[in-house]
Formats: sequence, structure tokens, C-alpha cells
Amino acid sequence: MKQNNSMEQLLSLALQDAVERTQPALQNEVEWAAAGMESHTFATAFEKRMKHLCAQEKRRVWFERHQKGLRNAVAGMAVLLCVGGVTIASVDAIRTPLLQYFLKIGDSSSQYIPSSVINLPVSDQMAVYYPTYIPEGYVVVDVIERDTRYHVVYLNEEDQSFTLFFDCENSAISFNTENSVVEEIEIKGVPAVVSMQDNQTIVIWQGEGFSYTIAGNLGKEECIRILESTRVGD
Amino acid sequence: MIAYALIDDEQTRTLFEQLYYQYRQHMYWIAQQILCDEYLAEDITAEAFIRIAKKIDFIASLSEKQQRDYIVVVLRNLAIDAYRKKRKSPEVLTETPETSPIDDTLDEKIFGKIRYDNLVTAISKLQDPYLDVLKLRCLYQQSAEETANILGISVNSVNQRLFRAKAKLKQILKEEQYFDEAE
Repeated sequence: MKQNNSMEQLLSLALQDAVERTQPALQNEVEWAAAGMESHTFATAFEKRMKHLCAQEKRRVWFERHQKGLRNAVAGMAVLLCVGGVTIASVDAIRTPLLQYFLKIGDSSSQYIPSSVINLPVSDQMAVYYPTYIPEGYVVVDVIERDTRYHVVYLNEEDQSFTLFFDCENSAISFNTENSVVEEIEIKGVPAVVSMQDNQTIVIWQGEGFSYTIAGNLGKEECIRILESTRVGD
Repeated sequence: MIAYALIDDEQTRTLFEQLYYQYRQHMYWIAQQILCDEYLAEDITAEAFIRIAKKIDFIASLSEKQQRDYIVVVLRNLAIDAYRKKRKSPEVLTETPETSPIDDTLDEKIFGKIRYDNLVTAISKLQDPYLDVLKLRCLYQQSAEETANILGISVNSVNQRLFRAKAKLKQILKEEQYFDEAE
């Protein structure tokens, strides 16, 4: 077996030398032209096929050359995603708004209301707390309703908007009063707080078993009129 | 500017592209000589390039002369196979029947008695079908299946042809008196 192997090796070496010593069996373009041979014009289909093959080979070589870089890039992306995920999960300042954002998407999509009934934005259960007066030109663009509360977003053609919040339970409400004019008033004999800053108005009206907040590009009078049109406190 | 672009283009060419642009004319010519059919010759040249693309890593490991040689072996056998199919005569260019008993004992006794240069000379005197199978199996280290695929014959025929090629080589060595069997 060992002798056979050495014979094969010798034969391989002799074959190699035979190839190297003889004239090349294939001439390149320069040798071909130098020999005065006529160049053949290949058919378009052939050229197309070869172009495709060349492109395929180029892609393969490119991937082979950049394999390491691509692998590193993918690994880097994976690490970034992991670090990002951990950061989001551990930092409240990022996690909370993000969760709220996604929860809001869920709520919005589950409470989609067809345009024909958009003027009745809340359920029958909440309709009793809904104001009968809404300033002209405003349409409902978003509604969120939960067990004891709802909020409705209104928008008019001039891009002015306001949001009406309602809750059956009274709870503390924080709002920004910096550079604002704050005023205490009464609506239907129940105390309310009005905060005005530029063209932004916030009205908080809380009574026995109800809490209304209006915030947006509305005047104080309009806000009061909306709240007065509710059935609570009657 | 155009010349610079051309140089740059040539430098960025893959090995496959280099082989394609360098040898397509002569490859076509070889196929045309065997097939005498312009369209079929183009088809066979394209087929040869497809096979080259599949084996490009192996071809990259060969010297330039070996690359040319390997390409010719692949192309010639594809053309012969196509010619055989075209003529629908399996007898054409198939195994040559041996008229005398085959002696394939290309053993260490013989190799021990001949000069290496004479062996190289004897190899170059082998006919193409024998030389091709010897090159593919012994020089390019292709498996019997790969060789069968390139030559367009069965694995059994590959083994048979290899057996005969070695016998033929011994015959040449004897005829040219490169070694004395009596010694």
C-alpha cells in the first residue's frame, strides 16, 4: 500500500511536470490575438448568461471577503439590541413612556369607532357623564374608555385641539402652572380650578363622584360651557 | 481616464471573470472544432464556464498552466459528450477495445528502473482520453464520481479507463525502451 502511494505520488509529480513543460493547451486573449486568430462574436443569449454567472460569482466572492465583517456587524447589532433591551427594562424614565405608548396603541385599536357613530364616542355607561355641548367645528379624533373613566380628544380644522378627561373617582391631579394664571371658580356650585398659559387652558372640576379635566386650545368660557352641559351636579 | 478605469476594472475582476475574459475565445474554438456547430459550441462553452464556477476554489489552488489544462480537460470532454449525443452513436470516442491482454502492473519495479524524465515524456505521448483520466484522478485529485461527471462517463468506465491508461503508459515505456524488463 505504501509503495502504491509513492507510485501515485511519483505519477502525480510526473503529470504535473508534463503539464508545466508542454505548451499551454489554452491560449489567452493576448496569445489568441498574437496568433492572428479571428475573435468570435458570441450570441447575446450567451453574453447574458455569462454576465449573470459573473455577477453571481462576484456576489459570492464579496460575501466570502466580507463574511467576517458581516458576522461582526450582526454580532454588534445583537449586543446593541441586548443592551438596549436591558436599558429600557431597567430605566423607568424610558420604560414607562414606552409601555404607555404601546398600551395606548392597544387601547386605541380595540376601541375603534366607525366614523358614522364617532359623535357618540363613549359607551352607554359613560354617556351619562358626556357633555351635551361641544364647540362648533370640533370632531372626535381619539377615544379611550376604561372602567370608571374616559378621555376624548377633539380637533378642529385649524389644528386646535382639546382633551376632555372624566373619572368617576376623584384623585389628585398634577399640572404645570409655570407662567400660568391660575383662578378658582365655581361651576354649578362646585369649585373648579382654571389655569391659563398662552393659548392653553386647563380646567379641573371635581365634585362628589366625578372629576372632569379639560386641557387644550380652548378659551375659559368655552371650557365652562362644556362642563355646564354635563348632567352631573344637576 | 478610460484606460485607468479599464485597469481598475481588471484589478477588481474575480478569478472567474479573469478566466472568462482570458480564455473564452480559444475555448469556443476548441468546442467548435469538435462539434462543428456554432450554437452548440457556444452552449458547451457556457456549460464549461458553469462547471468552472462550481470548481472555482479548486481552480484557484492550481498554477496558471494547470488552470488552463484543467479547463481544456473539462471543455473537451463536455464537447465530446455533446458530440456523442448529437450523433446518437455511443460507439464514437468511447473506450477503445483492447486487442492484446492488458498489463496494468505499473509497479514499483518499473518505476525503479526508469528515469523520471522518461516518465514525463511517456506521459505526454498518451492519448487524450487516457491522459485526461490520469490527470483528473492523479494530478487534480478528483474523486471517481467527479471524474465521471467531467468525462461524461460512468464511475465504472472511469476506473476501467484509468486501468487502461496505466497499462498504456507502461506500454509506451516499454516500446520506447525507457526501461529493460529483463534487468
